[in-house]
Amino acid sequence: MEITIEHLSKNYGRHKVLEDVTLSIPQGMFGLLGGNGSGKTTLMRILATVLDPTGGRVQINGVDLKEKRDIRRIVGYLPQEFSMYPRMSVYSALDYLGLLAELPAKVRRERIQGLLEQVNLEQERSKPFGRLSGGMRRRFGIAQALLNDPQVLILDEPTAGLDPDERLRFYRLLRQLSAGRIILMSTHVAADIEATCQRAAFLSAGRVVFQGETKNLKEIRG
Amino acid sequence: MLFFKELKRVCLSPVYVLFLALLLFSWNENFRGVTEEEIAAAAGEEQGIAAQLMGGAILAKPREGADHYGGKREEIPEKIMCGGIDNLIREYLANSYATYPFTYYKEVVLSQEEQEKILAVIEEITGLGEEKIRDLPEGYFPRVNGNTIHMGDNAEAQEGSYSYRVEESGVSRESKNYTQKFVAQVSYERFKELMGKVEKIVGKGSSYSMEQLLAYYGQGEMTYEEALKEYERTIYEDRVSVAFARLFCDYMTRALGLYPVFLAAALWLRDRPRGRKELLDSKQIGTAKFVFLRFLALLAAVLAPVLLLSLESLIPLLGYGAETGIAIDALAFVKYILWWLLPTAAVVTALGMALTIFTCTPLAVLAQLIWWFADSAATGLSGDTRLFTLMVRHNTLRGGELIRENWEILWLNRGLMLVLAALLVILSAGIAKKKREGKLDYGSVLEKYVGIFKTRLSAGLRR
Repeated sequence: MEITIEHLSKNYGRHKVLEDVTLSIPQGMFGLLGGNGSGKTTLMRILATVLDPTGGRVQINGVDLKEKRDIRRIVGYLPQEFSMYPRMSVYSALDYLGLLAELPAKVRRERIQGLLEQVNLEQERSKPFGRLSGGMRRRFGIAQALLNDPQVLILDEPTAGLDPDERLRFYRLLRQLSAGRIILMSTHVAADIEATCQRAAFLSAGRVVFQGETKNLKEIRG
Repeated sequence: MLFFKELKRVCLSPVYVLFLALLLFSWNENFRGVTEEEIAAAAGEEQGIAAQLMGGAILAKPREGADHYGGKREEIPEKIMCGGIDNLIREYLANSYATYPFTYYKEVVLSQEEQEKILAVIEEITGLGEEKIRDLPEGYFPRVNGNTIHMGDNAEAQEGSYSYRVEESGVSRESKNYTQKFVAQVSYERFKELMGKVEKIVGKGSSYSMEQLLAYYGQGEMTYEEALKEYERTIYEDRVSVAFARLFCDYMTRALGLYPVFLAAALWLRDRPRGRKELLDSKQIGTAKFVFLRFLALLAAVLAPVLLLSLESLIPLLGYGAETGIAIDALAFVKYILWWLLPTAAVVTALGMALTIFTCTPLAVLAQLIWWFADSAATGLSGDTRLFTLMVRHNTLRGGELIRENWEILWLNRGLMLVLAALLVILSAGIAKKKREGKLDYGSVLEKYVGIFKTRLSAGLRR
């Protein structure tokens, strides 16, 4: 199980957002660290198939990124900023996204029930999405990313806006989920990576300046 | 299943409540109660003035020897000239000319020079000078002259209202009486030329195009045989309900030619926030399937209330059929809604969808408003369907032969609207697919520049 990225680039006109990115992401938790504007979100969006690269090659578990439908079947994506229709209940919103994931009705029902319990949103199943707290929304985000039981989870700044307690609960959840999966998590907070990931990469101005074990990350950060 | 989910989303939205309110208002103002009135009139109850002027209720069999069997379209030159010049003199004297350039009233006031040109036309047609024209004798024009009624001394005032006897609209042909009663001093051909000149002076939508002159004054009296034939056509060819289905569709098409665009725009704009859009885009459903299912859900939401409203007419008609033994076509409304209204609703919804997906703005509403106005202005009330007509009109219970005569153009037109709708749905899917890949992201560009404008405006206001 692996994500291989070879010489990936993304340009907006003459502006290079990603330049010659080559990464190998094995099973387990992998952190993507970098400041604002380093290209983390662009890379995440490309892997989630909501943005086309300008050049390079990506394979996720042997499936080329160009096979978008196949990639979407095996990938779950949590964007940095996301929302759902405010008046839709938590259950209804997951059901809707499950329909878009083309899950059969029985599978959808069972999986949503299981996910609500796993992310501790069972009590909020009838609550409108617009009335969820920040932490609840993040947990909803994880739940919807897991709807299709993906082999790969792509989480863009998943702990942004969470208080320390929520953050810790989130780390525990991610560790549970990492068994048998690739979880790629981006953040600008090094402590998040150090707490959860075995391997990481550091992006700066669209280039990979480090990839390897998390314990060696401190050398780059200085 | 996704279809039902999308349908539920549409039906529970505030914009749909507005759509229903507008649809109901339109139906209530124009069609509600029409069927009950006609059935009551056929049973011998009091008829409205419109029914009396048309020669009685459509469901009442004409009686031989009756005074009046209603009007029919007929180009009688004397009547048209008489009615046209009567209206022209009235508007000239007030220097106030009614026009309907885009189906809405607009008053035109002419300059001195233009008024003199109009006067010259009036003088030529009537043979009278300006002084006489300003002081026409009583009875110069018939009491009922097309859509003009001269009250005069014949009217009797009773408790604040007026009543009068409707006389034969006598148009004099004796030239020696031309100063006392209107007698055209020009040929019909010359009259038509002069009216063309007047129309150019007054402007588009005036009462002096031949189309309008025929609509207002091109009426002859039906004979008993003609009225009987019209009745039999209604009962046996239209099987009663088709006549009402036509009028229902005529009124509903005005609503469906515009309102669905609000639903389409609102539904797609709700996905505009980037975080919401990416959540949806990252799921595996194919873009074409997603767009198509949403389109179908929108169309179903638009047509469902129309089908329900048609029951207000159909149910009493079925009861009427059961009482009288007349065979009613129970599927008339469904058939007419499908072939008449569905293509209009489909193309409006599809265009709304395509423009909203492409621009990420409510621009589709403006575009549809323009198309709706233009189509309303260009299309007559009956029998005026052309290849690109959006809203087919037939604003009468009678005249089924107009539909039959225009069958070919109607089918071409409805087919074209459906093809156009299909192409727009395909285009919508193509655009949505590109956007799903992060291309054609004009919405965010627009938001960026609108944002810059807003920031500069706020800064300017603060200074």
